[in-house]
Amino acid sequence: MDDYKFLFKVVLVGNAGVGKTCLVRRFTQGLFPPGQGATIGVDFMIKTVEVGNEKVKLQIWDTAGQERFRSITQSYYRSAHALILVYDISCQPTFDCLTDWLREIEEYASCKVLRVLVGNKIDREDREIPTHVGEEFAERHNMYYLETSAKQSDNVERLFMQIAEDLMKQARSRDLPRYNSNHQNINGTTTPISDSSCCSGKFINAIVIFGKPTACIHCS
Amino acid sequence: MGSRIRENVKRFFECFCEVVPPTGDTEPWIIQQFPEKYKDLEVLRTVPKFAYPYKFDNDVIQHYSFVLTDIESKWTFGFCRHDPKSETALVVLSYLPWHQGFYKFLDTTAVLMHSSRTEDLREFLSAVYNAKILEPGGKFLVSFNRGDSTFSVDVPRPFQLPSIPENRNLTEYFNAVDSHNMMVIFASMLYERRIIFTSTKLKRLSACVQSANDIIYPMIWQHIFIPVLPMSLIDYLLAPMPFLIGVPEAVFKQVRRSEIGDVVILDADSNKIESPFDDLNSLPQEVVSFLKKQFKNKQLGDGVSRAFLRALVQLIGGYRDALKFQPGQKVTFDEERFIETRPPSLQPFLREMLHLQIFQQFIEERLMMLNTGQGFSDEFEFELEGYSAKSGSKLKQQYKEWTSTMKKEGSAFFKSVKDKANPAMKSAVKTVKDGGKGVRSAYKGLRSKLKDSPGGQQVGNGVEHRSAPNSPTGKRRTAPAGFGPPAATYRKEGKRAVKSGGGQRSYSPLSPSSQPVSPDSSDTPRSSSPIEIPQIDLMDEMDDLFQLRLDMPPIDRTLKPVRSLENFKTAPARFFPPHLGGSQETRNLLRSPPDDAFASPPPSVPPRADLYGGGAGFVVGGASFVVGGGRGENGEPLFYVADRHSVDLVKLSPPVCSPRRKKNEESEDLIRLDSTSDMDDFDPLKSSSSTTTPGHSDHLPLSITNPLYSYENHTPKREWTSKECSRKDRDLLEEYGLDFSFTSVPNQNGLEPFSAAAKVNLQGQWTKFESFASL
Repeated sequence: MDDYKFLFKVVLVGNAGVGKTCLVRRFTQGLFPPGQGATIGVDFMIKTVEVGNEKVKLQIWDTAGQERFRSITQSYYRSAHALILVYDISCQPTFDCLTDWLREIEEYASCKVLRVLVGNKIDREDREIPTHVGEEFAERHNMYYLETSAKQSDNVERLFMQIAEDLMKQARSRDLPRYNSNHQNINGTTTPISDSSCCSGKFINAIVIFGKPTACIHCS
Repeated sequence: MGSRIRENVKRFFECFCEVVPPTGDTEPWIIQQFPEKYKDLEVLRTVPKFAYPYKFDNDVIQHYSFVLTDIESKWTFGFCRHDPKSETALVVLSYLPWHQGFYKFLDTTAVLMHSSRTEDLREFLSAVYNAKILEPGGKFLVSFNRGDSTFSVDVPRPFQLPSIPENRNLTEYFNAVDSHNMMVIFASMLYERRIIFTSTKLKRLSACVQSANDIIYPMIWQHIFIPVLPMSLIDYLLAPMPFLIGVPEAVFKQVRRSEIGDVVILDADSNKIESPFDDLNSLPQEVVSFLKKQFKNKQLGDGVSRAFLRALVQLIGGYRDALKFQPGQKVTFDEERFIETRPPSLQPFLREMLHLQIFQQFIEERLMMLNTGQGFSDEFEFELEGYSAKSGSKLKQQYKEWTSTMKKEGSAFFKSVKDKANPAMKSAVKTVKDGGKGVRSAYKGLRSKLKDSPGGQQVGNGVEHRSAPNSPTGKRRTAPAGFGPPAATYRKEGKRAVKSGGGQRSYSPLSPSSQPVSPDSSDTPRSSSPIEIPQIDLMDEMDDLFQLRLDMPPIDRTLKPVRSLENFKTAPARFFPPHLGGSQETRNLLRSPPDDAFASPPPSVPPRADLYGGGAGFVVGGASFVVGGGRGENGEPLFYVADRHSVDLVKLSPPVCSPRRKKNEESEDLIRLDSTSDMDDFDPLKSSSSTTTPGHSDHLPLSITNPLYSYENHTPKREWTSKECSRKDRDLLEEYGLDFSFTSVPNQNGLEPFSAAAKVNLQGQWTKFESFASL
């Protein structure tokens, strides 16, 4: 394991089948074998990227069985640094559900969790949600917006790099956790030291991905 | 929906595996599995990691459980048995959280592994695998060893709260962690923290984690749940979302605290908690002080579970006031109303509560129950009724109206909702053994019956009790031991019926039987015949109150074999005629599994005799128990022996050898009744009580006072001293090795010693069990 200066946790949220797991797999290029998603119910993948000569480790968390939640409550992501909300541009219901997913997130608009809206599967011909609709939605909810194709690798790298850069900017300018490179972590690499506080409560920061692992014909 | 336990499970277990420990660089691996057709490779790949979560020395027999979560976020339970005498670990995977049953299953397989007949194990596994799971409350019975032995597991009833000591997990948790720390964990779970439990013992670790989840019933932990975390999955401790993870001490040592961030850590060995939060004090203080009060009287039975359940009733029971019933539409929940209708002191917390995943799931589930026509039908709702009786009935009326409208509009609505919804919750607290309040109230009822019957005055002497069941019926309304009609005592003791005002207790609120029943009606008509009464009443009471088979045909007691006495001697080997199949060795090995009570063939049936005279006592132990006794016409000793289905009269032939020796022989069998090998390795009260009662232990076999239930002797002792128990009767009973002063109550059946029965204290709205305060 390589050394890193920052560790960020990203959480993925979205309906089943929108391609969350595919996005992550594409990004990590299969370098990291699939984890324990089917036996622990949560999968995570790690990729270390370089941002401005600094090594940043991204830990991307993908939870199974999210569809059982009506919405995601703040307790779910209060320890995450970034939240990626994914929908399928060719499937209106997955977009309609965004309001539900966001209902909780909205209440904590002041939270420092970085939020990104992702319209996935832009390779598909049967688009149902025009780009501008997604953009507007993101703007309204104070989120970044990006359209991707996990299948064709479009924008996937950019998505995560953007997140890494942003989080690093935040970390440098504000109170995001700093990682002392001298600390050995579980993987023998460096570790977070402190937690920042967020909203009214005490929070740790990280990034999380939601959804049921599904076989994605789309990107296989 | 919210439940993470699978519904409609068809099989007792999914897969049984034997796992070889890691050596040097080799990982642990599965050497054999049953059935071979089980092909979930992902699971099979993972099982060895959980069977040997780290390299450890195996010095005691140890049972623990682990949990696998599938992509639907449903749980598969893994039960594991380590034995220092064995090279391998035994693991069984199941969708059922029946911990006690599976530990017993593993013990049986361990025995069969050493059987001289190599087919024995496979035959057993295959018999159990193919057996059908019964209805809740029944017994899952599988015969094996060529029909000579029976494997039996009580099928837990839905909605039953875990109780001590029947529920091993809760008992372990209760022993390891004091009430304050249990409350802290409870609070932290309500705040959906990231929570780590740690212990050097896997058994303790898994039991505590499982119990912590049981205790937040009716809510269910919705996040990462790993009762035992293997070393190889250590990175899961970095997960940013809430989790409840049991981390073996050895694994925890490899973790740097600073990496994990803000977590609550409970060391279950030292009973210490480290937490960056102040969750307990952030709960509404009335709830905290209520909980503290509840814990002052250390409650056994389901006292602990119920204390937390009642705390949750106080916190979130008000959800009912926020329900909106609109004809033709689904029932909905109004969050604002939920807050507004609560006392101001609760409001800030409840606002936060709305943002909890576990609370949202709870609401979803309640709505689902209502919208599918299931009504208010679980333990939580029952407690809630006790808490706010008035609003309860009003609400029920509303719901009734709503459902009748819905029904008029066609049953299609319920059906469509049902189809969409994933029926849940029923199984939320399945880790509970069979039994329950019904038995206790039956028991109490039985006692007062005996006392009330003119012929049973002597009997009454033996069971003197401060609740004075002889008092007029008007007074009985508040007497804890008074028993209501079956409708009121169904699963609930009388005192509960009292508390909830008129004995309203219903799991199907729409049925007419849910109407309040006057306690006065509980008086069953007395017959004028002194002989008949006890018998008939006993039968009826037992049948009704045990509530086991409402549809059971009337029992022809003249033909019914007495199968009760051998329940005192659960050593099957004793009844194995030598010519029957099954290897002697296996038989011997199988002597110990405890619940064979019903399995062994009945001995010859003693002739029935009419009973005259009184004198009596109760021996309670195992599946059936003596509820009365005396001497028959010819002076031969007689016992009423009751099991779940019947009451029988048993005549014993006078002892041939000296009473003393005879007693010892009997007691040898008695040992197997309670001192189950299954439970030998845990003693919930070892720290707080001695195993035998001083003064009697010198001449009594240890077995009668099973260490497991030793606490029972504390209170009962007060009332069961020789003073009160007629000397004559005692002698008689002792002749048969039945010393009632050592009555050991079968807790598996949910019985409590009636002498220790709860004294009702209408303090606030809650009933308090004071008699256990002596513990």
